[in-house]
Amino acid sequence: MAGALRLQGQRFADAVTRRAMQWGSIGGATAVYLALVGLIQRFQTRDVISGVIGLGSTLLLIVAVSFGYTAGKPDPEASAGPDSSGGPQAGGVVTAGAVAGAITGAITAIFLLFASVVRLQSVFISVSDALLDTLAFGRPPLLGAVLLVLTGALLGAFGASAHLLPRRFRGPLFGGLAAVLVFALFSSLLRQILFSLYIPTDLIYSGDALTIAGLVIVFALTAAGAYLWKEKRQVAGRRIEALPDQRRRLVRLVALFLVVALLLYLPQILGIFLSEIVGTIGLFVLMGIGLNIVVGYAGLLDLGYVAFFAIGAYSTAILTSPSAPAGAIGMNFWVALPLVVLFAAFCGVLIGAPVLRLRGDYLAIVTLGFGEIIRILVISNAFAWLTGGAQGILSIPDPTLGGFVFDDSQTIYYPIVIACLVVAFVSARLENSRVGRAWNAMREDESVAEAMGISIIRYKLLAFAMGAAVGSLGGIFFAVKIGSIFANSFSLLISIQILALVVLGGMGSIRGVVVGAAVLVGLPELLREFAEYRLLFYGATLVAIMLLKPQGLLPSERRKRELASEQEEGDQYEERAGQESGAPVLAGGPKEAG
Amino acid sequence: MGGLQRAMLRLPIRQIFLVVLAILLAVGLFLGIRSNLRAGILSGADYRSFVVDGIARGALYAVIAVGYTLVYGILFLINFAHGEVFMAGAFTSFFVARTLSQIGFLNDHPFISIVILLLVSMAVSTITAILLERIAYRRLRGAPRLIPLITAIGASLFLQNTFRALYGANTRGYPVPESMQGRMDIFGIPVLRTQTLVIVGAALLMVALYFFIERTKTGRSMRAVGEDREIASLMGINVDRVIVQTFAIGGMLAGAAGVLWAMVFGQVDFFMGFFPGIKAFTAAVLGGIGNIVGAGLGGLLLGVLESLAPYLFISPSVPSPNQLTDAIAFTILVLILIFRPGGILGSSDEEKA
Repeated sequence: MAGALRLQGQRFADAVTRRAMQWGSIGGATAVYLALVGLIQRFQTRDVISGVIGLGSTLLLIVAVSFGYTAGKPDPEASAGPDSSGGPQAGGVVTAGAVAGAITGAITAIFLLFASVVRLQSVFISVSDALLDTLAFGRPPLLGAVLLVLTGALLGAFGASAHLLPRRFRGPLFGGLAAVLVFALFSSLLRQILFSLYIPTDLIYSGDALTIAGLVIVFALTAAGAYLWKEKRQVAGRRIEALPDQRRRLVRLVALFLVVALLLYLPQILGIFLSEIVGTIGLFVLMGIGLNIVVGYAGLLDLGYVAFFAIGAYSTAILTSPSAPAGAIGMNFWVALPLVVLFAAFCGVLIGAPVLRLRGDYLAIVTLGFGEIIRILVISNAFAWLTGGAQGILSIPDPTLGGFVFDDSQTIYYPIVIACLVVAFVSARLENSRVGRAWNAMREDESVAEAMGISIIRYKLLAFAMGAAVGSLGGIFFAVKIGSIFANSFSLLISIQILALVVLGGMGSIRGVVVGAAVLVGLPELLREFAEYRLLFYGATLVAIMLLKPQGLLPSERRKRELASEQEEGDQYEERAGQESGAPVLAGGPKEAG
Repeated sequence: MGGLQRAMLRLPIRQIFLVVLAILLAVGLFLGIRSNLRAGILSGADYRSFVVDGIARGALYAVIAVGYTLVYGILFLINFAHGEVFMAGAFTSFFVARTLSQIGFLNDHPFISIVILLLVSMAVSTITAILLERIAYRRLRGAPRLIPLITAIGASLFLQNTFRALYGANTRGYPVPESMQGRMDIFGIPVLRTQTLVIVGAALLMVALYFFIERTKTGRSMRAVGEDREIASLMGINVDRVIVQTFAIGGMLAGAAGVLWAMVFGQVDFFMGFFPGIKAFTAAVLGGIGNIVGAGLGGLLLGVLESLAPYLFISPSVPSPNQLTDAIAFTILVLILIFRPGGILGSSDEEKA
């Protein structure tokens, strides 16, 4: 009996180290990748804590900690095995983290040594002496390599030991660390905001990096805040639940009022530069909601969505600009707006009609083709008489309303926000209407939906038309916001960007679109200094979300329910996948036996 | 619901639309060709050289298209990142080619150099393709179809920008051996030497692939998995391994095509995979996706159409028709998918496609 137990313990230890080594190797590969693509050195130009640690080193540190954390995660299978006490074994967890961290460090160290002997920069442009210096903590390579392994082990153990903390402390801990990073990354922005709120910032910031005091203050405040929030939120929620209907409605009204007031006052708080960014986010929210109708509700993957953005922008420019190449029409913006939207909806039907019978992935390629055709036509000399070709269309007049001119980022913000609100409202109502349910049915199974009496043709065309109309709004406001348009602004990348933000937030979820736009459009705008990594970030986001959380960050309520009911199917799928990969089917088996 | 509305709904909108579209296209093509031939701006020799250009380009589309066709035949996945697999090999082989050219080896031993470059490029592309399958696609088997497709789009963007960050955003001039420069006469038509290399190379690759798929055991198991994955696995075929092999073969061919492409067009950059990728996919669809002979046929047809069309179909009064080359390729793609999604050699059954 004791022997068997020891044997099991041995096997458990083996499993832990194997996992640790796997995760460590992945961590090492990640670190080397980050070094090779130049992210580390590029980030190192910014300090996180003034004079102590740069952003690039912080990135490496995060890699080691997070892979240590993952490697130390108590394996449900393993922990059920050796001792039935259930809790993770402290020693094993920390060792696993340390091993993973050490391997991450070791792989990075090997890269460092290799790169300091062989000159790689003629091929890999980012492997500079400065990078090697950063990796080696500013020491000679050999000493740096040893330090890398040691710090790796230490950080990995730190990451893994988070599993030993009670759950209610773990969240605030990571929240506090994340907040430190956010405060360091967006230092200039936060300094400006804090300054406008009359909060002195010299204590926590020095230049655009945090001071050590700042580190402590930010960490303590946010960690404590997160802890309290977690403790009290449920209590507050329950108390609101307990209120009588009328009072609850009042609470909701007050909340709504506060949100509206904040939205109205936002440009004044943010200033011109930030309002510009919020306006851009708003444009992408508009287009995201539009694409969400097509992709999220109706399940039609449209990769040429930028076409409607372009149609909206160009139609507006042609109708309103006094310098339109085909002759000035000089229409009032508010007259042009509904015309353009209608025209875009018509184009949506036109593009949708021939592809009605195509299956999902072919549809994606056809729409991509349409999007590219439109871009090529717009930029070509053949259509320059209408679109200005490569010169674009200039001097699109600012919209005016009763003598008030929406001429800068702080004023054009208002029509954009109103458009967003209206569109979001319409979209939310649509989702829960007969139409929305028909779209959902169609998305899940076209043949079944048709058999249930849903006219596929009609609802598909409706989805295309709605999506196109909403997307064109983005183009319309883009045109008047920028004041001049060029064909280069309408590349396939915009389609992918909009798709990425819909996917990130969760297909079918309006809140998700807002969050997705804020993250994928807002963040890169704020971090312009690292603009060259923007698309890399998009690509990685798309892949990561699809692999890890295909329902998105903020799935819609209905989608959540659907996923819950699909749970059984999911289990079946897992079983099948296991069979296909040739691995023995273990999942679920022992549980049934026991 | 009124009677009129009901009658409207019953109208076969789509069929009417398609017929009208087809008629418009036919009339447009006829008028375009007539006016071009009448105007007679280009001589017969010009057209011949366009056709040769088209064949060279199309041969490469065909080789790349194989990667799409094989993967689609087995996984029903449009591997959007396949163009980037092609780019990865070509871009990496540039550094080898540069070194070879600096030490003079490239001009002294052009044949060996090209073989070395091909091997390097094929190795890099194969590794990229295998990693792609392992990291991005394997976990998504059996997921709803849109999910792997979106992943593939993300992977494409990711690979593109990874190589941009690794090797730089500049376009690099690809060194070509001196003996491969200039033109040679074939049947009285002057053909670029590199184009000859490409056409011969692509033909050899396609033939080798055909025999590989038809005659070898691996090829047979690939066909079996394409036919029915579950039954194939019941017959003792390791499906995972076959899928990896499929990606590897697609990557290998894409890598070879990458070097040939770089030699013909004389330059490489991180974005070079995008348009050839989409066009190769078009070629695969044109020929009938899942069909290797179709990929070859579709590639050649697309290449020739693409290089002729701007001067043959578009009225000479349109300024700079060559700007519209890509638009023509996309139009062909859209039209094929709308009218005959099964492709030339495939069935016209739209649902299956």
